[in-house]
Amino acid sequence: MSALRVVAWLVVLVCAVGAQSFVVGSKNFTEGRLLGEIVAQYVRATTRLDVEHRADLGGTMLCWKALREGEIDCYVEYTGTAWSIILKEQGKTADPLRAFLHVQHEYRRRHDIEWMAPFGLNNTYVIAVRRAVAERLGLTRVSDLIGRGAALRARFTPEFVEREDGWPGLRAHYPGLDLEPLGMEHGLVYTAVANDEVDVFDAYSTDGKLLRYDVVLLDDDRGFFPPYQAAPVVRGEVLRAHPELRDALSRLAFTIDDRTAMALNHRVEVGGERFADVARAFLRERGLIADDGRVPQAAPARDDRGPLFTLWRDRGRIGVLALQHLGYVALALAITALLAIPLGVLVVRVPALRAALLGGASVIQTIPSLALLAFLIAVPWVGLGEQAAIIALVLYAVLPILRNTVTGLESVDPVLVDAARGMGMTPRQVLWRVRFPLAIRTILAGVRTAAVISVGVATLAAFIGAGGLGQPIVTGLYLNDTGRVLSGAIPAAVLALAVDGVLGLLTRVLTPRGLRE
Amino acid sequence: MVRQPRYRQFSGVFIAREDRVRDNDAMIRLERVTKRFAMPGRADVVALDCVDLDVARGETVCLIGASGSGKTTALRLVNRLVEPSEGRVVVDGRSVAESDPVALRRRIGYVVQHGALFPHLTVGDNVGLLCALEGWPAARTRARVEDLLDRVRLPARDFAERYPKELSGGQAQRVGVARALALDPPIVLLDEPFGALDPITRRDLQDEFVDLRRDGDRTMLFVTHDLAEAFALGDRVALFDRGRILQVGTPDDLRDRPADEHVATFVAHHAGGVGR
Ligand SMILES: Nc1ncnc2c1ncn2[C@@H]1O[C@H](COP(=O)(O)OP(=O)(O)OP(=O)(O)O)[C@@H](O)[C@H]1O
Ligand SMILES: [Mg+2]
Repeated sequence: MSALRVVAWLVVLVCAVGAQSFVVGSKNFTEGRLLGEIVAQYVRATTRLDVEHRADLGGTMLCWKALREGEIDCYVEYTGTAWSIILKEQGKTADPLRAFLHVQHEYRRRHDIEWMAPFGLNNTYVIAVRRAVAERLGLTRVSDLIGRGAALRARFTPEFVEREDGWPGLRAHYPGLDLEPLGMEHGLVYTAVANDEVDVFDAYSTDGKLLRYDVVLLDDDRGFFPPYQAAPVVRGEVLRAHPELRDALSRLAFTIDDRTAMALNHRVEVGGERFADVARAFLRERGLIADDGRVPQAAPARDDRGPLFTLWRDRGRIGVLALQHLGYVALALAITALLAIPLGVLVVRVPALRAALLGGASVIQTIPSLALLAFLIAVPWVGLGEQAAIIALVLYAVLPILRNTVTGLESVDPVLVDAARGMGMTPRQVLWRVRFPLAIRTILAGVRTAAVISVGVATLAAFIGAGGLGQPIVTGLYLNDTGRVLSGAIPAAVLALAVDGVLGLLTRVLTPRGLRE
Repeated sequence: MVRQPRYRQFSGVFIAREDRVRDNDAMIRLERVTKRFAMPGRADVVALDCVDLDVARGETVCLIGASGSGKTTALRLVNRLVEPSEGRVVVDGRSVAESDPVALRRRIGYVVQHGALFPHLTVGDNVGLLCALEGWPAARTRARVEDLLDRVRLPARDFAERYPKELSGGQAQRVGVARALALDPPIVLLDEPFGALDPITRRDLQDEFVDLRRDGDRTMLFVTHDLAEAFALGDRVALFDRGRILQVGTPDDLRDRPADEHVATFVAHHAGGVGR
């Protein structure tokens, strides 16, 4: 009897363990997502764990946060990123092994998170040169560029131009390097290369697009670029509970080198294949899973049937994102109105504050929205995600509402204000019974402007992992999938028009009848 | 033309300044009031220059004079919309400088040019606004509004729900007067209430004003550009000129006993419309 009971318990236990899930997250760019998909499929095929792949989770900080909070169990990280962004190490190292061991050690010690063996690829910066130019000038190494600046047209991504581990560091590391690079968006560089308009540019060393163009990748002969080795990182707790994971993941070690990564990225980005298909094909070709391995779930793939098709296919998801989008806008507007309208009243009553408040709001308005977001996520108590998005929206919406409140209140006919005061109305009554109702139309016009701006700015929320209609836009940009970009952009535009229309109606309803045309 | 017999019973009070100062029945008194407006970067504007004026309880005094002579400023001193630079303003025995402006103004009706009705409120709400602010029950306010609108000959039934933009100029002026009377104030200040109206409407309103004056013991200051209007409506008339008062007296005084050349010229010049 008691033995039976023990067996029953064991069965329950085994089932419980068997049903336990393993959640793989992935960063929102092609390679991150692809590697995540490979991990997910492989673990699914070779263990009893119930594997879920949360693709497109967001940027580094988002994945990191999700991992630490146990929202996901694993994602693929790069040693260089861990070194500088997560561990915030000041020094530099160009030695891949040292970097890996250091990062592994620190993660284990500080966070109880394990670095599994790396995939093999090193997705670092690389300097690429058009083959014709490279052959003519005999360029094979970065140091060959020294003294050749005048003959070469260099275009670097704005990020590379700015980053310490980019151009400024490179120039210091290779004295005599005299390129005069101009900033250019990465997406445009390839077109420029194809048109013979650019000779030298920076790229990620595993970028699939490099395969499409006739370029030579220069050897970093003096070892400047930090290593960016990709490897799965897994929560220690999960590894202890499921030791089989360690075996499974170690079998993926050194299966993907730079060239392979390039080819896989290329299949998704240029070939338009599905992530799931590319991952499965890779695992099979390598003999990592048998042909009868469990069929992974298909992820939504790129489609050439146009944005409307994408829109229709993803309508459920887009609807949810649109609601989320609208929620951000509504919440931000409510907060802003509660903030800016009283501030406007304050400005009217205390003219000394005018310059500071209106000036401040105008200055905020001029900050590029991405810069503002970047600034906000750096503020410790804001961080990534929804709060930062809401705060950014509020900051942008303040100016139109504040300005219109002040203008509205101040442009009330002075004769009416005089009459109101002369009748014996208190300043408060003059404000709320006369100035405010007479200004309401102007104030609401400000709210309306703010709302339309907010719908636009809210698309940027996706850049910091807060979702909204910017999600398909950001993903589409990463995947170079115009249809997907439009499947976010079109609903966002429609939403802006709808919000404008609804607020127009609201303005009409709220305008006192005596003031209507 | 209606003559107002009432001024006669007060007229004796205003003969000598010494008498006036001793008079306790003055409802409004300006005592050597000077008002200068500071103009940044320029010399001050002297709007009123050492002006004395007494208005007895129940009296109507019309202020007349050229544009810029200080009439509006004198009026606004009474309800503290303007503070004197020098001198003192006394209302009902108390210096206004020591009164709470809101409480003071609720006892002083104020009619601004063109009515200055609040465009977002109906006629009824404009008239009843002060009653509502005083916390009157709605029914009482409504009754008061009806009564006042009837008195200015705008039946509440037709007009209470209209908005100011749906009124003619004359109707708007009437509503302005009704609004000023909402709390039945003992003092009413009227700043060219019938300005910019056609002569016929103006005449109508003047007649109504005379009727209004009959009930109650209201003290009024009435600014006008129109000498005929001043003579018709004022117990006394104060003639302003560049911040000073040239003469205060009954219409007969001004006509028959002008204080100086200027007064005589002014009356002669503007007398064209003054007939009986
Ligand atoms: N707030 C002010 N600031 C500066 N100057 C003022 C102000 N109010 C009135 N003044 C000046 O004071 C003088 C008297 O003005 P006030 O309005 O009392 O004249 P008024 O007799 O009512 O004229 P009108 O018949 O044109 O209404 C004028 O010179 C005017 O410019
Ligand atoms: Mg005036």
